[in-house]
Amino acid sequence: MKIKSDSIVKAIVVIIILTILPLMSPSLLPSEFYNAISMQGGVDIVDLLNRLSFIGVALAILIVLRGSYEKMSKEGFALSICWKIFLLIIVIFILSIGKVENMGFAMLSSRSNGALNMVLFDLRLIVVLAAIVVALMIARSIIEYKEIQKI
Amino acid sequence: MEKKRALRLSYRILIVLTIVIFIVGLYNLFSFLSTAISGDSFDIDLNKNEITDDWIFSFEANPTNNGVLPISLYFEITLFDLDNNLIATNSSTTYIGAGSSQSLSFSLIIPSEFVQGNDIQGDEGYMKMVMTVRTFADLMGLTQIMKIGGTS
Repeated sequence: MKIKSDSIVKAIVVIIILTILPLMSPSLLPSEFYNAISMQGGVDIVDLLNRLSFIGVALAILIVLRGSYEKMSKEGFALSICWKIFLLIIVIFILSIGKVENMGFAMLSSRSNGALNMVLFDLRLIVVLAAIVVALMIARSIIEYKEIQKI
Repeated sequence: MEKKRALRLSYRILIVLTIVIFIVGLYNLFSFLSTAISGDSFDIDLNKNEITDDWIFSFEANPTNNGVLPISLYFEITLFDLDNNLIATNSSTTYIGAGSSQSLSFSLIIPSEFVQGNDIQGDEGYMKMVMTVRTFADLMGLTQIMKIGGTS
């Protein structure tokens, strides 16, 4: 296993942008900003940033691993499928405002003087379409891999 | 080779289609909401039924869909007392074509003991309003839930 240097550079950039910056941002930006988003939008910013940093770590690991194996090796093929599934998870993460488990439901809510205002976006259609795209991509990778194995 | 090409073409078309649906769907929902939720579109009245002494809470709306696709609109109003007991509820659904407007109305009968003076008092209960707007054959949409009054 030989790790490509450009994969390490890409992974470091991803770690800085998606993990270190989100984890450091509460100390870099004013607390009023976070309070305003949490109160007005009903989004748990700390939880969102923690989830984002986790995605950053997972993405960096995948980049390093993909750079370590030949594309058409057994491991490279498995990583290619993992990569596509991971892309789908990122799409769901964005559409669900950080709550991957909501599968395309995004919720924003605010509360003031006893009044509650909640908005639920139903974007499951986009999640289903993205899942079909990923399934087609995986099917193509399988056919490609089988063809190369035959040669 | 043909299968691979067909699959690649299929998912590329699907990616473009997904992006288009996402943008057009959100544009349609927000263009409807930006014009529908205005002071002139909705009207709420509270009138007394002199025969039964109950109060009639009537809701009327005439929203316009300025989007590029038809939408379906669901509206529900529910009144609760402070112990979360249901006082009255009613709802209505309408379908509004692109560029047109459609009226929507319903009423709730409220027992007289829940209305003090000529107004519904927030300290005697609360009102929950649910508005659901859906587009793309009801496959994409948003729901807004508002709880007004009461104590929390």
